[in-house]
Parts: sequence; C-alpha cells; structure tokens
Amino acid sequence: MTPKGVIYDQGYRRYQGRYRGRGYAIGSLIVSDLKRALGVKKNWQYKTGLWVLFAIIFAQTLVFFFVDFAARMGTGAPTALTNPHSALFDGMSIILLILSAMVAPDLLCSDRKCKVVSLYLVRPIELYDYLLAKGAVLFGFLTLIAFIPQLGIFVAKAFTVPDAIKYFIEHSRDFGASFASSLLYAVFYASLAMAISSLTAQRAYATGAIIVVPILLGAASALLFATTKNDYWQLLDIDGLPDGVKNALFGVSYTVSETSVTIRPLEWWVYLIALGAVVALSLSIVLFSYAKERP
Amino acid sequence: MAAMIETQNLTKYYYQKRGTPALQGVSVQIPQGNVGLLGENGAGKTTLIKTILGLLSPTAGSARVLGYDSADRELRRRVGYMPEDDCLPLDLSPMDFLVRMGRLSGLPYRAAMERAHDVLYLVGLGEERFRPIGGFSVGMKQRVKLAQALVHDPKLVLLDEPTSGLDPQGRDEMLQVIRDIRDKLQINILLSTHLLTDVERTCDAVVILREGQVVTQGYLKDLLTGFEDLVYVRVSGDTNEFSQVLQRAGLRASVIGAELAVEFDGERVYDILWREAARTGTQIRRMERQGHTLEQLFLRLHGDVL
Repeated sequence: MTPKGVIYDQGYRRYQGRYRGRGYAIGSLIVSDLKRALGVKKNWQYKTGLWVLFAIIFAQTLVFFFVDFAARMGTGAPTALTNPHSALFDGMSIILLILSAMVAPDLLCSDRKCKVVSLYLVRPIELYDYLLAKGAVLFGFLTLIAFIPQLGIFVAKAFTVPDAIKYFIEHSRDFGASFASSLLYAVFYASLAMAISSLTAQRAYATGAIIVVPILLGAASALLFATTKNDYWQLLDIDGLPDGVKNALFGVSYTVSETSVTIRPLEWWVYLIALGAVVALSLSIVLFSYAKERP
Repeated sequence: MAAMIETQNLTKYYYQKRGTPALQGVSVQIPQGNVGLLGENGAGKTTLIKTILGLLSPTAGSARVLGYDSADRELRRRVGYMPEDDCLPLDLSPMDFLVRMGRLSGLPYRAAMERAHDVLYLVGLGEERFRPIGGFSVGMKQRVKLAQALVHDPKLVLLDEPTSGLDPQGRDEMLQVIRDIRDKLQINILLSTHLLTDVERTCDAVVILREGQVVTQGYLKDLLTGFEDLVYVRVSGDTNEFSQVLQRAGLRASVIGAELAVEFDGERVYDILWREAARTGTQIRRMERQGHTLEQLFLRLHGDVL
C-alpha cells in the first residue's frame, strides 16, 4: 500500500512566548550592527576595503615584532622601536582613522538616509538606546582592531624569550598600557567619526570629512605653531592627542623636529584634557544632531 | 465592547503653546475592530497616532491604549505601526529587516525568524523575502512596512495611509490584506487615511477629525443612517418612460437630467432593473451605484453640500 501524506496548513500562529526586555533589544541592535561593521552581507567593495586594512595591520604587526626581535638578537634595531607596542600605535592610528571613516558612516548615515531611525523608535527602545548601540559597536570594533595586534606582539614576544612567565610579569605595564591606549584610541576615533557622521545622511561626505578634518586641523596646527611658536597649538592637531597620552602610558617621549622647528611635547594630562574635550564635544554634536530624529 | 483606545482632552502644540494646536481637546473612545481615522491633510491624524503611541508627549490630556498609558514602553510591544513615509533600509532583505524589528520588540531570535517568514507570506512577499528592499516597487515596500508592523504579533496595528502611492490593483490587494488581518488574525486596526472608500471597504467604525478636533465618531452603520444610497442609470430610450416602468415594478426612481436615480434598498434593485430593461427592450448604457454615503457624511460635517 502506498503511504499517504496529509498536508496541514498551520495558518497564522500567534506568538505565545515571553517578550524580552530593553537590554535584549539593544543587544540585538549591537549584534546586527557589529555583523554589518565586519562586512557580513555587505558589498564586495566594503569587504575588500576591510580586508586590505586588516592585511596592513597584520603586516605592520609582523614588521614591528620582527624589528624588535632582531634588536633583541643583537642585530642593531632602530632605537625608536625600543617599545614595539608604542610604535605600533603610531602606525595604527591612521588605520583606525580610515576604519572609523568606513564603519561609522555605514552605521549612522544609512539609517538616516532611509529614515529608518523613526521606525526603530516605535519599538520599545529610546533614541539614547539607539545611539548607545551604535556607539558601542563602533567603540568595540575599534578597540578590538587596536588591541588584537598588541596582544599578538605580547604573546609572540613571550614565546621568543627563555622565561615566558617572567616576561609577562616584567612587562605587565606594557600590557596595561596597550589595553588602556586601545580604549583611548577607540573612544577618540569612535566619537569623532560618530559626530561627523551624525551631521549628514550622505555616507560619502561623512567618510571624506572624517579623514579630511584631522588632516586640515593638523596642517592648521603646524602653520599656527610655526608662526607663533606657541606649543599649545599642537593641541589643534587632534590626531596627535591620543598619541600624547599613549606616550605617557608607555613611558616614552618624543621630540618632533619639523623643518628646523622643534615641537616640544606637553604634559600628558594636557593631552588627556584636550582629548576629553574633543570626545565631549563630539558626543554633544551627536546628541544635538539626533534630537530632531525623534518621531 | 471595551474601548481599545481612550483619550481624554488630548491636546498637542508643536511649538510650546504658540500657534494652532495640532490636536485640541480630543476625547475619543475607539472600539475594538477595524476603525477608520478620517480627516483632510493636516487634520491631526498622524499627530493623534504618534501621541497615542507615546512617540509624542501630549501638551495636555492623556491617552490609554489597550489598557496601557501611552507613555508606557510596554505598550509598544503590543502595538504595530506602519508609517506613511518611506522608512525602509534599502540594502537589507525583508527577512533580515523583519528579524531585526522583531528582536527589537523583544522576540527571541528563533521566534523572530519564524514570524518573519509567516508574516511575509501573509502580506504576499513570500517569494521575495530574501531580495534587497531597494529593488522593490512602491506596493511591495508598502507590504514590507505592513509586515514589520505585524512581526511581533501586536494586538493593535496603526496604519498611516497604507494605500498611499499604490495603483488601483495594488490598493485592492492592500485593502484585502487589511481585511484579512482583522478577520483571520483577529488583530485590531486603526486605519488613518483621507481616502473615504478605504474606510468604507475595511472599517466598522470611524473617527473624523478636522483641524485637530473630533467632528464625529461611531459605527458606520449608525452614522450613515438617513443618507440616500442611489443607483444612477443611463438608458438609450425614453428615460421618463423607463422611470415609470421601474416605479410600477416597485422601485423608487426619479429622473435627474439625462439619468435615472434609483433608490438602492438591496440587491433586488439590480434584478428588477435588468428584468424590466429586458422586458421593455430598453438598453442600459451605464449603471453605477453612487452610495458614497461616507463622502456625504464627510462633506456634511465639513459644511459642504453634496
């Protein structure tokens, strides 16, 4: 006998379960945006850009590790690389800037352009929850990008010394400074990129502005410093603010000479206050820009 | 029947008590079922919807929806909202978008996935659910907006101009979906529109707003009592003679210009018209029921004459 099957139409099914809370809703927004930042279901141009930057970071990390390794083997490494963690941050800052210019406009401008923010706010979340989720994604993403290479160098160095435990103990300051600096760079670039992205719904404009604004400020800073010889003009070069705090955290000090003009570093707390001011101003711009997004 | 929406003296000024209020002392009791919210552009329909959803704070008065205060965030889990404006992420598929919206309403991931599939089939986008929304027509985008309002299984959906921008066929299909939501899913609907026929075709009750105030509210069958419902007929032969034929057959008919106006009191009117036309050899050139009684009511309330 041929077995017979019967198809039943279940029809529309009501949701019988429990609704999760506000934290879950924010978490779901973070997860979906983090996937977006990492290129999941994005176009090939975005993915290619992201992987090229990841490759540069990896290459930089390898170079700094091997230069440090060579120095320790007694082959005469450059003195500037006496601390590869600090040196790596110097190379990483431009990468973090470019990454923030890629990710922040994608997270913020797209939603604004499509006017989907007002639809999100009909759900049981508030505007602050939405911005918190976006900020958390950007900050978390940049922190990971900044810290993973540092962690890589730290672990790799530990494997190339005779006593790894002793190395960990002796270099715990580097580890702490690496982590703190990663947070510092991430919060700086995340807030700057969010502020600029919140001012426009056009992704391309935001991306361009995030890269151009620090460059223009840097040029203005150099010009004003050369004209007035006032050391505080270097604070206008906002890209250098996290570097100033980072150098203090690692206990390294640089005096930069540019075309016969010597820029003397300021106290670390001056950089920290300036950095805090930039972050606070950026967050204020974000809140102000989004105030009109309320439905 | 218990009211699903109750407002008490709801007033909303957009500019801190300067200028004209968008809502002025609105007190309504909106019953369960399909309810139309009618008014001209700028009458305050969208403001009323946003205020009862808790998206706008009232300047004065209060609103309760499904027993919740409008400011209670929990209410937004029980209510779905389909806005009039374009508000869809064009690079996402409807599936991804609905899962995201479901999770924002508190559905676990698995439930959000299941319901997104179900709801997209319900609104007729089953086959297109993995395509980017950016490639959709206006009608399909309207369906995605409706689907996102339903994905978290609300008790009430607020639809703001759901047939806006649709062609006649798309409009028919959308109105059918809206009727199905009530009839098959037992979800209450508040339909905000300025299209009277949309309300006639889908709603049991209506609230009419004008300049931020409620002009009238109630069930359609009660409000429309006393309005004439006429079938206009144009014939090839003598209109007066055919009018008398119809009167002898038991219909109330009168001649208005070149047409006959026959009072509609049921489907039997059509049967008699066709029968008498065939019997007398009269050719019916045009026959149209102009029972736009809601339009008559609307215009009367707005001080115009039909």
